[in-house]
Amino acid sequence: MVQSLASWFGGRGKLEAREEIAFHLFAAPWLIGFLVFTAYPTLASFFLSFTHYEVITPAQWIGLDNYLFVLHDPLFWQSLQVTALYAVGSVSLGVTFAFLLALLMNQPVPGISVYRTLYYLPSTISGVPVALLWMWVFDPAFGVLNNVLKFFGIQGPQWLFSTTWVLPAFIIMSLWGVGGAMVIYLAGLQGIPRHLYEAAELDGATAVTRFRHVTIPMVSPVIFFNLILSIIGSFQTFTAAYVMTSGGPANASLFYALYLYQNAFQFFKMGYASALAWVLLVIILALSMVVIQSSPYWVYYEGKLKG
Amino acid sequence: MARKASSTVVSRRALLRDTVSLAGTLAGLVLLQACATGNPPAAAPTAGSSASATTAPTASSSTGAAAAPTAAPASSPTPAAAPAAQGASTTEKATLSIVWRTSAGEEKVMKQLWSEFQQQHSNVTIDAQFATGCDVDKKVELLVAGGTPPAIWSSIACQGVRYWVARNKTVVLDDYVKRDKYDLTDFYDAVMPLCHWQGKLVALPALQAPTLLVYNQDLFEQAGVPLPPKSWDDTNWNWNTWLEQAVKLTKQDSSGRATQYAMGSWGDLRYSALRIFGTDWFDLQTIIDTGYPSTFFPDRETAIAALQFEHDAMYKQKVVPLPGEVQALQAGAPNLFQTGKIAMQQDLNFAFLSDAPVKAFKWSVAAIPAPVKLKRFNFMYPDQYTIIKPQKYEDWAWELLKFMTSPHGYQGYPIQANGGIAPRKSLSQDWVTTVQKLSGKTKEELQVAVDGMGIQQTAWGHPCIVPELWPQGIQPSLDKFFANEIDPKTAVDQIEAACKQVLAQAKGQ
Repeated sequence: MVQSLASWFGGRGKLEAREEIAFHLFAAPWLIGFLVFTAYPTLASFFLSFTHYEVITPAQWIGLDNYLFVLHDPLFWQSLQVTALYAVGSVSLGVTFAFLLALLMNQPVPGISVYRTLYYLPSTISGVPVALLWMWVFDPAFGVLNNVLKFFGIQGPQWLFSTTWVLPAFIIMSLWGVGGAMVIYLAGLQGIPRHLYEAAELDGATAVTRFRHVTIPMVSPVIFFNLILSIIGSFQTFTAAYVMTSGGPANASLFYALYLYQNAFQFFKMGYASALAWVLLVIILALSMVVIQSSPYWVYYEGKLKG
Repeated sequence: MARKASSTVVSRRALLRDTVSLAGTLAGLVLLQACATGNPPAAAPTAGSSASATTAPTASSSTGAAAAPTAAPASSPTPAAAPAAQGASTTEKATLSIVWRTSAGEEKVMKQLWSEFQQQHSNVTIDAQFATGCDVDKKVELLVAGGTPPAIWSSIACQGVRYWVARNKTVVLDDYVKRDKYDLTDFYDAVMPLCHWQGKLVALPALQAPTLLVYNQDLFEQAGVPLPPKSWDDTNWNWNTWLEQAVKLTKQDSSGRATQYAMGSWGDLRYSALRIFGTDWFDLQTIIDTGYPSTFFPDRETAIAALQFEHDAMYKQKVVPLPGEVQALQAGAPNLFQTGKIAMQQDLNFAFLSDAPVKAFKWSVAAIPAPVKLKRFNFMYPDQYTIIKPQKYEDWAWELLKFMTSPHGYQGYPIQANGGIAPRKSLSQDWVTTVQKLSGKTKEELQVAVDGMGIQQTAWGHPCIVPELWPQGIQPSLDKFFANEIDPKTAVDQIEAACKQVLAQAKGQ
């Protein structure tokens, strides 16, 4: 058996062939999984995006109609606008808050590990429980947020029931998970060589100058990494919107992924949903490329020569 | 001996080649397997293939006590005759699959019913699968896509029967009905139009759920307000008299925060928002006939006035809570009414069982207030059973459908299973007797639901074949309206424009 397989692999030596076979056998589970559960659905969705397909009826080839319809679909633009605004708000706030928190957690004070744990803890819980929790936080009548505002004499908004406030509510809620990014920033901050700060101090640099000219450049690769991940994540927001508002009120929280889901699994327009998925891929790819292209101007890699 | 460095290197080309070979081999194996296990389709059923006719439902078979279905076949009504031995469909063993919703009460009764059917037909096995909510539909979609639809399907989840009908996926039942002399005259008139499509019978009724008003008797008595009438003929009980009472039934604490509301909400806004005032978003009959609406706001002025009335009740008289207040009011209770902070609520007949555990206050049911000038136009939800194509054992599927729609089948589901009303007129008193036992309510109270069926018409979403019409056409503007962001006229204009756009898209695809 091995002999025949060995000859099939090009008549090389027995040991060589056995190792190659072993390699393929060990790699096969992942490869098969990749082909069946990732590559095939990906290619199939690309094909389906050119069809009218409702699952129960055969797919009908309609060329670029789904993509052309995207351009004329007001809900596509609405969902894109909602998602883009959310991305701007949540990414900028998330990156800033996580970084500031990491700076705080990097202070050599007693019991700092307890604080680090406490700030990281919320990010270990995600999905539906968090959504349900925040529904109560944002409750206009009894929610903790409006009661805090009331304490300061401010009449809180209707949050999830207001077309104006629902998106800010989601952006505020997105800060729940900053603990994860904070830990990455913290690792980056702790990786900055101490001697850089000492040298700057000897040169008379103030704390602000050291932060600006040492800390930020040295952490910039981590900021870059978190930025890319945050952008991708914000464009894929789904669970919270699905659980908390279902896209309402008046489509004010109709996130792109939710609209895609509705088309696929509520209206069973699989062809159109596939087209939306590929458009999303292009959007995320384009945004990621913009960030990557801009990185030489603001990301500092130690040891890399400029120009 | 030292190994050559090259011995552990796998070139990208070789990896790609081998991967493709492996995938090809696997695909070939899967294809071979698929071909090997495929069974030839059963012979197509013919109208004349039955050996004997099914006994038509009679009054005597339906007036007995609606005891829980038992395993003994003898306790069943006359079993539906087995299809004649015609080809493979009746002689070989058949497995019929069914997808049903996860519900403790229903699951027990359904399994009992299917067990009885299996006992009556020894070569039939029922493979039941259960899923939650809309997952029922997703499961069915996948089964249909795989060419193995469930034997019978019911609109128990999110999809309506018209979804299948409009895609030509349902078996036409006329020949079967004719062959077996299946009696359709016992069904309520309001449920039958939805079972037809383009002149053909494509479904049979499964249940109907009429609307009614549940009220907290203690709160009425405390406020000195007369109890609402149970008669649907009493037009003095209209929305003007309701508002007078509603003000007395609403209470606030010293800080001005409401502690008690006259009504919890305006119900299922898709249907109740306008119908309780005698009008609708669309012309119902055209939707029943064609699946699409053609006229928007048949009575525009009444629609605007209705929305204004509802808005005022929330923002001016403050007798109905704002959407943002409901979650806190409900505070984890199964529904708003059960909190005891709500004097009235539009509900369905299922309330008799769902509110039965309430012991903290006395409650009862009444007719929903009438429109001030127009005729009552309340809605009910009708569910159907249908057979989805292609069926390997279509004759058996029909037999199962007959069994489920027999008086005995209906006594199990919906009457026993969830307190739903069976669509057979002859079973109305069975429903009263059974639900009276289960809920402890009086016959007079239960009769409110039965009487309501005579005047209530199907919810438009059931015959409509454009599911996007509500979420994309109506709901967004209605959200803005109830959030106090637009006036009713603007809402009506926006709804009409959005609905036209949704319809144009739907028809264009």
